[in-house]
Amino acid sequence: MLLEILDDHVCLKLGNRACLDNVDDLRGELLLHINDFSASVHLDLSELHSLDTSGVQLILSLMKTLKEQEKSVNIINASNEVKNVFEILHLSENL
Amino acid sequence: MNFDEYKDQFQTETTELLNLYEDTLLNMQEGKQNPKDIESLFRCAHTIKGSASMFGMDTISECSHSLENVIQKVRDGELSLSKDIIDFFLLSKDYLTELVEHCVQEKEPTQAMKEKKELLKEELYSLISTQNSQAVQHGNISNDDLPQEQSQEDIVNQAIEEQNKQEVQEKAQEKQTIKFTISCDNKTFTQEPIAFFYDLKKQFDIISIEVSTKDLLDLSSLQTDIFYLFYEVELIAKKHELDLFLQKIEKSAKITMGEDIIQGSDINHSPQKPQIQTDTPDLTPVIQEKPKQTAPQATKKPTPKKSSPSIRVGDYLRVKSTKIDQMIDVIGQMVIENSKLANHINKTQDEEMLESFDVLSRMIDTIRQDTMDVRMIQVGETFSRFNRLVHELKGDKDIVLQIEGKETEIDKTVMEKIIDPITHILRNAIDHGIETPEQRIANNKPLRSTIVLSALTDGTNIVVSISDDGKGIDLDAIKDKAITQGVDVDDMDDKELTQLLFESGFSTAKEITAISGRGFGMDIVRKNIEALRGFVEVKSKKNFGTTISMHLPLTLAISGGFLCACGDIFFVVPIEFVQECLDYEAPHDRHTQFALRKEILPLVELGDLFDIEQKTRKNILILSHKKERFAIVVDELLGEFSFVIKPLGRLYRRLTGINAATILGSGTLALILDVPGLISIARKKTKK
Repeated sequence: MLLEILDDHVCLKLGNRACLDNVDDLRGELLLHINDFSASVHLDLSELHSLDTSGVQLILSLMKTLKEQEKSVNIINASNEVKNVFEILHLSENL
Repeated sequence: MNFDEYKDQFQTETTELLNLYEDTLLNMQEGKQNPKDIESLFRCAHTIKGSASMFGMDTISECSHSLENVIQKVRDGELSLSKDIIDFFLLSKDYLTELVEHCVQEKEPTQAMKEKKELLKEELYSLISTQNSQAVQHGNISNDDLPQEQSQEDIVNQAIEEQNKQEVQEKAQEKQTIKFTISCDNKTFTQEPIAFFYDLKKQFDIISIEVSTKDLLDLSSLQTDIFYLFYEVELIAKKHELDLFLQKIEKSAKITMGEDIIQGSDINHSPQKPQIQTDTPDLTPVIQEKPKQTAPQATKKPTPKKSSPSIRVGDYLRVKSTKIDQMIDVIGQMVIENSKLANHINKTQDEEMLESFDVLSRMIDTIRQDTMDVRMIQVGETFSRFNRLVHELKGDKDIVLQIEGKETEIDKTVMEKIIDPITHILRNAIDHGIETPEQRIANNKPLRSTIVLSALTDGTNIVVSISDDGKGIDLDAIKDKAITQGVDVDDMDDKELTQLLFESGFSTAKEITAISGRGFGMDIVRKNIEALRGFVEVKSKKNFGTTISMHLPLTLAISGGFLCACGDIFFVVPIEFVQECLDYEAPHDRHTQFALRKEILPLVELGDLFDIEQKTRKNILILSHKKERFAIVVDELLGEFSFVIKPLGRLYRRLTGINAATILGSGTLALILDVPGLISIARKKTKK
């Protein structure tokens, strides 16, 4: 996971995996930094190529938490794999 | 669907269901209907029907469907759960088991199977008519309720008509528009929902899928292995196919079936006014949990558990046992190659190599131990199969089988090989050990007798015991029988007399029944157990019962041994028998005994026994079996090592004193000594 803090927003780039075996670690890392995020977060999913339901739920939960904190969040550069998984789960409108 | 890919899985799962079906039946008390048990029977039959029809195995599907109909009659109270009905259900299970085996192997049903099917039909009709006539006698049904002069043929025709009607109804219901929801149930998901939705779209005509993430928790409370998404699905499908499909996800999420279902000809992709479906006969777990409300409450907030101590299904893998056997073979080869390597490295005395070799050896030991652990199975499942045997053989006797130590683990191969001995001992106990009800009353014993089948681990051994509370072994009868067979019993103590029961053809039974009495069963028990490097022990008290214990090694494939040589031949003694090693100055004349610290032990010279030319310098190994000690004379003692047991070819299986072989690091063959066999040779020599 790569966190880039820019002037007007934060760019959060997830690594290439978000599956059941590493999602808990990712969640821990995100919880460490989430309060430092500025009002606008860009979630870059260009590197994410391996994703399962737990990974999808993590992304959606992150978006929900940020929205609850009244921060704006956008998914950018979703890879084809991410698009496919979201489509199968009928969640494409979240991308 | 390609059946070949899944047929092993189908057979395993169907066998498990049939075993559950049998266990449920045997647990049922005659005449008492526990609704849960009947539901369980119905579910087994229903699931088998569903799986079979999915694979196009119509004969199995039809048979389980008919069985389902009979169970339905019991459930509805139209048939009472008599012993005859339970027996009928058990016979049906046997027939289905055979049918599954035939269908999986793509064989046509044999004539015998066709006859069995007809027999089952006749049995059913006779049961129905008997129960009807009994009901009339007891005034539950008046004669007017029964069709006048109803012949067996009429009953058959009526049953066929009912079946046809049901089939017509089912066909009419084939395609339906079905609504259901999938929601969070705080269950950890074992089946990946992505695969589920992918298959769902591929397999069914989807009308709509709505998704909601309302149940999803925020990041701090999120449990990553719980399914939080809520789906509302509407599709067109055959009901039974969908039920089966939904089983894929029901362990991960809650499935709620909608009540609005459009049937048959009303199918239209834009749902019309729905008809409310009445009771369907389907009883899969999905439908069982069917709640009354039409739509689930999506807003209900889940309260996930912080930590769950329960075992997750996903923690287990179903692996074919032949794969494990292949692994054991490879590890066996590794052990042999490792011994070879040890020989070479010891010659070089290269310290670095020795160090690496030590690490490698430890790793091989770990892999070996771990793989052996994989082969271990709990005895409970196999032991519970004997409930059926007791049920079949008990006749008028009131016998219960109590199983103890179900969790005890044993090597799969050992388990397979003790099934026959246990069967023989149980047969003997039921037929000869346990008294008739009249005899038990006369002896002030409870009418119900108990046979305890137990397993416990004792160090590196496992002890499987079968105890009954019957009349015990009649030592006088053994003596009389032995005398008639020309055996000298004067010097024999009780233990030796009991051992006579294990001699081939020796039986004290006054009559031969279909169950036992020919005198070969116990002989087979002893041979089978000794072939496993175990032994049998008998304890009996007149009028109180008998306990037969089989002491067995925990595993068979790889073992520890002591290597020795006699002439040019290498021998291995399983390490558990070895007590001491000593130098031995061979006397000029042959001795049959050896004095060890004031103890006189029987002596066996391997050279004499196997006709090997021995060298002059000799050693002695003191061995012990069942607290009986004896000595064997060999040329060289080569030390401890791990060996892989290789069975002998059929021609050599009857050899005395040897029961298997192994390959040494050098590639040479070594023979594994049969210590119980050697001890009886030593005993005979001493007596002479």
